[in-house]
Amino acid sequence: MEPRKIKLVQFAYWLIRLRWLGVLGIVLVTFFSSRILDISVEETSLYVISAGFLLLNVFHFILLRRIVARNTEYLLRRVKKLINFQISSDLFVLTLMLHFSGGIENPFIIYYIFHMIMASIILSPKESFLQVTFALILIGLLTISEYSGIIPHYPLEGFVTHNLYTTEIYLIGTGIIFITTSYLVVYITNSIAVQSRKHEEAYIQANRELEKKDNIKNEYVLRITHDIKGHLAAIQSCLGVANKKIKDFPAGDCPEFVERAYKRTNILVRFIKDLLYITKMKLHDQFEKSGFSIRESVKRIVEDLKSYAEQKSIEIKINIDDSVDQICGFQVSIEELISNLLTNAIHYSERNGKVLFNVGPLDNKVLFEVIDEGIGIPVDEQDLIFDEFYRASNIREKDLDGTGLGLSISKKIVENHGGEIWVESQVGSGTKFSFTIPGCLSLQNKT
Amino acid sequence: MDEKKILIIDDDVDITRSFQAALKDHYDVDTANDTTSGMAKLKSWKPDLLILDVMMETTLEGHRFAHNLRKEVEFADMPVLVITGMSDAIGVNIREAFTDSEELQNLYFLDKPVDPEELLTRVKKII
Repeated sequence: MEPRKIKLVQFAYWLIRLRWLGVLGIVLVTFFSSRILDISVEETSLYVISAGFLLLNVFHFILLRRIVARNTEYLLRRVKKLINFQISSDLFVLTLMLHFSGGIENPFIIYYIFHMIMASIILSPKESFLQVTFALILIGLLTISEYSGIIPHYPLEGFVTHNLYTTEIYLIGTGIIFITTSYLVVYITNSIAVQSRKHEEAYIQANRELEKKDNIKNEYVLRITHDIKGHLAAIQSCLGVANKKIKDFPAGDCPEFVERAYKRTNILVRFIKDLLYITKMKLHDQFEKSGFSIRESVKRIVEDLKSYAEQKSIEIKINIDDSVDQICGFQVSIEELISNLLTNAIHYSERNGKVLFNVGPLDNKVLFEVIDEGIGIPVDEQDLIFDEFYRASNIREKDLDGTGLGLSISKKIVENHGGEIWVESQVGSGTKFSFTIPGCLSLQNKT
Repeated sequence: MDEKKILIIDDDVDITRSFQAALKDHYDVDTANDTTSGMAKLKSWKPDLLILDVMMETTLEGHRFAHNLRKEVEFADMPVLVITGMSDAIGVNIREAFTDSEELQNLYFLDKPVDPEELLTRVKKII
């Protein structure tokens, strides 16, 4: 059952429990007033009304249980109707009892207010105003009927000595105070109830959001565990073979499997390093940014990649526009980003290919382009390659080395700098990665 | 005596190579790293046992493969050793997935990571 339904049903049961106490209370007060305080009370009538009230409550109880047991889609509406009916019948019983115990002279008239508060808490503003109007009509009818002698008045002799029920000024004064108090109580309680309902809804919504996030996190952890386990399974399997061969001398296949296990361990270590890096970036969105020379950085990165490019006879062409020199950002991250993209470009190029690296101004940003003539990325996967763990289908088969995190790290770095990254590619003819980093000026304006 | 033939299908080369090494002293072993070449080898080479990774690249590719395999008359009764253990990562219970299809006959399961010795013992029991 939804929380709202549960709450309403609980409230209805609570009203019923309260009414058992009410019946007991009426009997005790009647007995005490009549026998001990010696006030003239219509004892028999009040006991009969109490019995009727008890039966009514039994009826409500059974009805509520049946509604809850059926649990149809109309449950909410039916329980609300029942509560409305309960409160109306309470008001009627209270009026009847007041009639036999002094009418408007009886201070128990205040008990109407309790019902109004309860109605305002659980019912809609319209329903609660209707209930209060109903209560006021009942009291009004009772008072006028007793005043004009249509029905008899049963005075509380020994408690109220004067015939207040015929004193006009008392009736008018009490009437005005009672009417205003009633409507004010309903208005105030209703406002508070509506507000608290809103808070509660916001709280439930926030809770739902949290649950969703928690699920995403769990899936993330599962995904990571899966990747780590895959590498470990391969390492264990390879070492298992090597281990057995060493025992069963001669150790013919050992080097191959030790090497496989070693390479796989390297991938796993890199995977975990990437994972730590990306988690760190997620935790600390803000880096301390500073100005640095992009020329110097690129020189260093290309130097580092030189031997890898030479292995595959790939030429790297650098073209940095004269207007660009200083870049504002987190130097280590930006260098990692450029290095990532250049390494990919070399990695997925055929032998004797060309890799182009352009840096130039674009509005008040700096545009970077890494262009290769490699295997390319299928069009329908171009949106996915920046997702964590995603690896394009045409590279999955070819090499096991990728962690599926490189591009998502790159994207995160660009986003942390307030830039954009995108890809244009065609399978078989090459790929162009572009990203922008806002220029120094706009960054300074931001901070 | 003729050596019995085993085909291993897994997209992870390190796994297929090491499984092959663990079994090759006792069996004639061949490997395939994707389902297409796996199916081709099955048909031309007719192995006595298929070792199949059910969760290639986190899809249930292996499961689908086994499903289609059972539909073909010549492979309907071939023993298949299913390598599982990645199922927890995507919340799919592989064994249940197989049980549902009522194809449990001649189907065996082994959880990754697999120790080569354990693999050999298991294979010896099956064929």
